[in-house]
Amino acid sequence: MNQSMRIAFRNVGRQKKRTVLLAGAVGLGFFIITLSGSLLGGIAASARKNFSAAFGGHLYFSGSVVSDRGSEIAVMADPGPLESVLAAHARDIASIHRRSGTSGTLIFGTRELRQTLTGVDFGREPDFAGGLRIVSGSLDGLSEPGALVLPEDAAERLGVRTGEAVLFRASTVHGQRNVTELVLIATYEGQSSFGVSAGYAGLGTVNSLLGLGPEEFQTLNVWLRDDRAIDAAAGRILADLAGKVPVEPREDEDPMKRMAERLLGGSGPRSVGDGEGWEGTRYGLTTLNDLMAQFTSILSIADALSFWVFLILLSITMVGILNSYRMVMVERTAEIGTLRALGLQKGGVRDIFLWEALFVSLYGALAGLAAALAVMALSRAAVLPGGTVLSFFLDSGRLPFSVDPIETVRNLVLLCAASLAAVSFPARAAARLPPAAALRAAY
Amino acid sequence: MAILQLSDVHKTYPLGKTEVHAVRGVSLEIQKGDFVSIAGPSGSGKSTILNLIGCIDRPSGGSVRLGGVDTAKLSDRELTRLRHRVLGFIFQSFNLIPVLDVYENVEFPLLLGREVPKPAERRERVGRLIREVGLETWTRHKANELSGGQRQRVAIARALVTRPEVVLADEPTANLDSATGESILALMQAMNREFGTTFVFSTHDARIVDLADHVVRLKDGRIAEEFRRGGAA
Amino acid sequence: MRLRTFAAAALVLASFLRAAPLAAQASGTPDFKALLAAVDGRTNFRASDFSARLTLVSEDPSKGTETRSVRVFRRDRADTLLLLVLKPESELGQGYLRVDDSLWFYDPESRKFTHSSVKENFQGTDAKNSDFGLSSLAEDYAVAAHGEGRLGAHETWILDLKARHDETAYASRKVWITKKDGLLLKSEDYSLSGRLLRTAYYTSYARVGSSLICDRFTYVDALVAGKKTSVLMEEISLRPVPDEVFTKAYVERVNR
Repeated sequence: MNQSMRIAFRNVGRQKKRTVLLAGAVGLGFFIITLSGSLLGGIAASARKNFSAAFGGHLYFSGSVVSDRGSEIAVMADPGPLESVLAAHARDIASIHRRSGTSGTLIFGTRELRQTLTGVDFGREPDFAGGLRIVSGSLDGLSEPGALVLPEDAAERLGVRTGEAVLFRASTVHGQRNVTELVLIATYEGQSSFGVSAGYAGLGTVNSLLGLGPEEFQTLNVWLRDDRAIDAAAGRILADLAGKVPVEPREDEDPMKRMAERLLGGSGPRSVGDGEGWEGTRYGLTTLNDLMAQFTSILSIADALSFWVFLILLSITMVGILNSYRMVMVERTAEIGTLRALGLQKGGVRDIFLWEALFVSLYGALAGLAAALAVMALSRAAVLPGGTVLSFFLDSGRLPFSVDPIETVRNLVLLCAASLAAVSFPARAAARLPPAAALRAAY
Repeated sequence: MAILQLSDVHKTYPLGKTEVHAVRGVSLEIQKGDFVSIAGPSGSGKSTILNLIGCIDRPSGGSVRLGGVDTAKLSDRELTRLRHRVLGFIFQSFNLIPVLDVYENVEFPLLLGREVPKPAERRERVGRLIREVGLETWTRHKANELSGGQRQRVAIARALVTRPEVVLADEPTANLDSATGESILALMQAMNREFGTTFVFSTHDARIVDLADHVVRLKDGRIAEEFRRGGAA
Repeated sequence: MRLRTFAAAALVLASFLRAAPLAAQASGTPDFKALLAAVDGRTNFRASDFSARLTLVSEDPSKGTETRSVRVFRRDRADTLLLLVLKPESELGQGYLRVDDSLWFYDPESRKFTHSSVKENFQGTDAKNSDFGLSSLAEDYAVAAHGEGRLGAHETWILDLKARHDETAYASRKVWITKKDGLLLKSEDYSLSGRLLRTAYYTSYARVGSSLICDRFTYVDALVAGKKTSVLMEEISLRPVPDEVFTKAYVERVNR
């Protein structure tokens, strides 16, 4: 073992109080950044999971055609080209689902409620039922025509109970008024506060409401294998698609609004202007990231804030380290002289200081990390009340924590680098002490 | 053969706005195997001479040759290497490394050089020296658990572990009672005879000066008297 | 383009029918398409601008009764429309502007225009945005069956209308039109699935210039019992409306 490192390692235990204070300050910073980073990361992951569950995938390919009367009709009339491109990207894709959807009004007695309704091909999506947390009723009759599953709070506001029939009024893809009778078979725990809690019915049921044939659909929802690679996968697929068929430009509008217009048929078909038209099916793509952009930017602001807090704590700690090691240098002047007399080079003296600060930082960081992990474990034991805005960010009602090893290592490296930078001043001063003068200092 | 040669060495220190002339034109030769005492009252320049010989200080004038090498031409790094190879140090305040135990303190200089002896050899050398200084039951004790005499024994073992040609001892008995001091000197003498190591020690204690076979008396930074027992200098 | 061509034809037809509305009755059944065009022509003002103040009273069993006052400006020859909400205070300044085949909704809170549809319900009432704009019964619907009957004191033709294309608001309608004057008295509007969505009653006609225009009508929601909206049209004028009224800038300016 390197001798400077060995001496430094032993030195850490010499002034226990000072070491505890310094490591404590370092640890506090590391505790805060680890805890906040993990919480924000956990929230992002939970929200991503909950959002993708609510929207049913990571990539949402829509199709639209121009009608005889010049309106944009939201239907994937010819999914062939898209499906063949998706098949070429099978490596990235976990599953693909056909969906239709609309936004309309639920009517029960004299009560009305705006609600989005998503048509799911339950036969081709056997796992769908497992993703919902059922509050009342059961999903046994899911494949029956007219079966409806609603978020619990929507059913409550409407005053409808499972087994009862409701009316759903909406527009067809062409904008014609339509109404259908649905029977509520189950309610699930949703988060209507985010406007993403859909009601679910069979694809055929929703299609007939939309004026589409039983086998038609509006969107192909793609679940990717890696939900962190959404943009990359979207880019690759779109690039392949763009050469073959009409593709809607992605940058021109607010994605949330576009999603609402396109997938939920909110305000009926749009008129296609002269010269704007296209032949056959035009494909559009909205991604989970598009929909979460606003949320993600809020998270990244929070992330940046907590990083700044970490940096501020870090710089305070650095000043502490700088001053402490100046004092250490004075206290150990004679010892430094001795080490130099015995044959330790200047660099060796410097290294003792650097190693020592590094050990203190590592101890502090480890303590901070351990404390953060302990707090995470403790708070995960508590289940928060569901059904609130908060629950969308939680992981089954628990505070979500996701320790990002890369980020943790980055923070650790940053912390160590900062400590080394801070201690380098007293370290260099110590190394430059003339041995004779150093030896004259009182031991 | 002269292991050490000082030729017209001067050393001045700045002290506020004035200068202190600690050494004024000292010329001196020390032969291999000498047991040298540099004697004189406080402030006579004993410690400065030892520092200059020990290459931990550079002369303001004149030259210091150690083992035939003119130290003035060496860089700090080379001086440090030379020090490690040729010299051993014993200090008035023992200067043990507080975080290391007896064994580690003695072993420490062995680990600093470019060529570190193999562990088995280190164990043999360190163990033997610890036995020589009579501390074999104290090997795992830290410095603060030892008496002054014991600490100085550790320092002697440490100074000898690299098998230096010259051991410099700055007032090695000043912090010890007279009995312990004598036993330390006896130990140094024994080592001098056993290993042929040159010992140069400073002291202002007349009884200890009597043990030396080569005596250099300093006064006001100059050599006042120099003689060898059994022959003139 | 096609719409305008048709509109011109309708105008010619309308003036013809106004002169001799029941000319065909003598030989059994009238030309129902012409009858529908006449109804359209009565509501559409190709030759002049149109403005009026509307009072909408909506009764909703869950929300209670709400009264709205709306100023409407129309230039039917250009298919442009502006609806400006005057009351209630909470909706003051909200506007619907139809220009260039698009309907825009303006919200003074956000000061933004958003895309809307003529098929949307107007401000949550049972009236649709299209109820205040151009009427195009003859273009959009074909008569699938006809009958006769009395409605109150009036002898009427009862026509079952089927949409000619799938972009009409209703897939089918049943209308009651007086035999004597060709006035629309009642309309039942059906969904694609064949369910009655609402019933409209046109209860009063006022003479404006040489024409008769319905100034009092009621929409009864067929899905929600007790829900209806009554509309009263006053201050009807055919005087020219300045061009700038039909611009986004005007909608923004009246809100300052």
